[in-house]
Amino acid sequence: MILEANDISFRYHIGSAQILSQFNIRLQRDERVGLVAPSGYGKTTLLKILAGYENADSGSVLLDGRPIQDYKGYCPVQMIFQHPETVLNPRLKLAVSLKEAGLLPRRILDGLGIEDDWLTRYPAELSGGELQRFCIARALGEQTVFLLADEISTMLDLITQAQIWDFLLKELEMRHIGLLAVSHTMELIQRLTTRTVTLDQR
Amino acid sequence: MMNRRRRTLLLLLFAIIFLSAITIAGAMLEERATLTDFTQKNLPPDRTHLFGTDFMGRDMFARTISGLSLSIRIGLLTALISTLIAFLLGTAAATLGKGVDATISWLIDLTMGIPHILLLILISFAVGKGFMGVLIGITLSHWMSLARIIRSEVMQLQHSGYIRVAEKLGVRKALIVQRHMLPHLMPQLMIGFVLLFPHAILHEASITFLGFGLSPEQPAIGIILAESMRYLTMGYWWLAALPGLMLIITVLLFNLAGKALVKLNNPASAHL
Amino acid sequence: MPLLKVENLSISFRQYTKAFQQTALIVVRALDLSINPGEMVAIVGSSGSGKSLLAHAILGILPYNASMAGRLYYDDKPLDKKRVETLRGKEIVLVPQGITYLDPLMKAGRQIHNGQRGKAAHQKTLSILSRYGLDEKTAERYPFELSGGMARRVLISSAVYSEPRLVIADEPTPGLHIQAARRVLGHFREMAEKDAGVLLITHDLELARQTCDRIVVFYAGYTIEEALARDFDQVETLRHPYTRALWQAMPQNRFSAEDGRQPAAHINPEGCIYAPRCKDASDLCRQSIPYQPLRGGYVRCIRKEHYDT
Repeated sequence: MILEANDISFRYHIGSAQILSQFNIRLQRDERVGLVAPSGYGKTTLLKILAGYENADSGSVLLDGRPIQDYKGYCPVQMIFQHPETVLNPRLKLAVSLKEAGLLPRRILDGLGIEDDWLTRYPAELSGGELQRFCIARALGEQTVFLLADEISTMLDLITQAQIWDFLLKELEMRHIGLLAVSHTMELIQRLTTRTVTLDQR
Repeated sequence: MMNRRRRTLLLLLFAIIFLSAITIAGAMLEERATLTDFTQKNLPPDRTHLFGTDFMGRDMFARTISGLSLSIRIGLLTALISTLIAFLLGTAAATLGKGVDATISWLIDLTMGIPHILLLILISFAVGKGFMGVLIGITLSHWMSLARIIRSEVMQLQHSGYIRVAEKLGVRKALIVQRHMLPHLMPQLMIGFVLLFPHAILHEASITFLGFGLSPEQPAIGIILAESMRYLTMGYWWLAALPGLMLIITVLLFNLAGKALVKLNNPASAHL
Repeated sequence: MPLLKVENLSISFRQYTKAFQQTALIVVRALDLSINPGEMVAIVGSSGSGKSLLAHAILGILPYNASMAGRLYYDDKPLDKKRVETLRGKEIVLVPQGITYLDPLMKAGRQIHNGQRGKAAHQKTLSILSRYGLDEKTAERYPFELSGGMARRVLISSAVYSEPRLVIADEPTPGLHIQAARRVLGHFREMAEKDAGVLLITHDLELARQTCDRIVVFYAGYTIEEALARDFDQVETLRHPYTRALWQAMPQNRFSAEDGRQPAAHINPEGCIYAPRCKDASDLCRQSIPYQPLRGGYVRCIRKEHYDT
């Protein structure tokens, strides 16, 4: 399977700055790509377009030749966000939020260090690092083919960061899931990815 | 230990018991409220007539309680219908696209632009006063601010991260509404409902007082107050003071309970 | 003489643990640190370690349901709520985390000189702006007309306007590209060179190592180590097993993941807070652990001779 963006352009409002113009990227499911750019260059926006959260003004995003917006139900391209507390419903117990991804094997929960005790709690009762583990688990549903990671470990301490990536890299390799990762830390990108793409047009 | 949440709960319980007691007692006293006895005219409060009697020898306590009971029943009904209208229109404005939103927002602005009491009187008068007049008048003039809150709440919810993620995880639309939206809206609706309640009671009393509401045969608080005006100069203070006081207590109690609910639901003060 | 001294600070929150049960949750247990004039000190620690709360405690802006114990000294005199209110915004300033702290309805210049009128205030504003590479047009702009980087520089400008002696910066760099982050920290270094004390709260150990003089490590509401920045050049000079594990986990070092995680606030093990994760923990670690000096720094570890190389 291939995820590709062809000549995509994007800006938030007519008259506001052009965030992306005629951008191209191609991802195979067996590669891990790092995306590098200064802040404000539209990395998050690009990931959102690739995952179908935003529509590009022009150009196309295709998964296996089919537009990403045509995939109904579980989307094979899943995005993990920088701030987990914004993507978890504060009024739902974490087990319920997690269940939205379908049945997850025990391996994933154990690998991410999610304790049974956390499942019955609400997001406000756990730390950002603990919540991010749930968001990562939720993005690893059975049908995930590409994972888009938007600075997912920036807010975590170094040890948690190493723990999470240690598990994720093994999981991705085993299931042949492709990765597109954004980080400001070059050293981290070098540890994680097989190649890097620079977003420097504008 | 006594903390604010427990105090709030007690207050709510007290309010509910007080309300139900008046409602039930009022319904039972209705017959006594219209019973005239010209040998017992204009008596000041004593042991047999707690609130005294009026110019037709009717027991003012029975009249006050059954008047309040009627007010509470009308308040309950109108608050419920207003909340329902607010919920439906608010949600419709947020979800059914730009045209619907513009129409409903225009309607909200229009109704809010007309002075409250004037609108109430107009509607009540147009549908022929009486019980239906009051009911329709109050419901049609009290849904706007809650509808506005619901509208913006739903709009915000639709863009919230967790709902967008749920969509991408293939969660069905109906389940998203049930799981992610309703629990967020429920407290808003509850508070809206409780705060609408005293409003409705006061407005019922005031338009009845002005003669655009319930008919004079009914022992409504507004009627009682209007009648007592004529006797105030004669020194029959109890005719206005005691029913008026009861009305104020009822309204204040519910206002208090509503505000306590707001504080409990506001994260900025939730741990007081 | 230290400019600011924090001794054995603890902070607890009154909270509803069940629907109708209120309890005190101790979040910060024992914090100790000091800053000298002209010094830049970093506080590093994961979220939930209590680092932002320390800043709020110093500034006297803890939330309504928090209460604190311990001692704070500023200029060798106790810093109580009344005193901090007279100093806040003048001698002691906070550079907040987000650019959302700018008032959206006020022009940038006004936010910098804080509404002061007159030519002198205007001149001073312009000279500060130019120091950070912003021109006089910036002073006339509203926050929505500023880019993220410019807004951050406006925040810093408004902090230095009152010529503060103590600057507290709460996570000023996340989301910034590495060069931009270094530039921002360079501005803080300049303030330190003018003899101010700078307290930098961050979770970016690498950046702290490159720019600060000393680094204080927070873990689950305790200060567990205070080290010189250069102690982080190699693992052997670090004093606490947690700090060493942090070092090992850096992507540029071994990127190795130690098991376990920071205990939640309501869990309170006897003795050392790190013992449940520590390879070298023994029965000795169950007693209360003092914060003691070691090789020019401090460590909260009973087996410190273990790490005394």
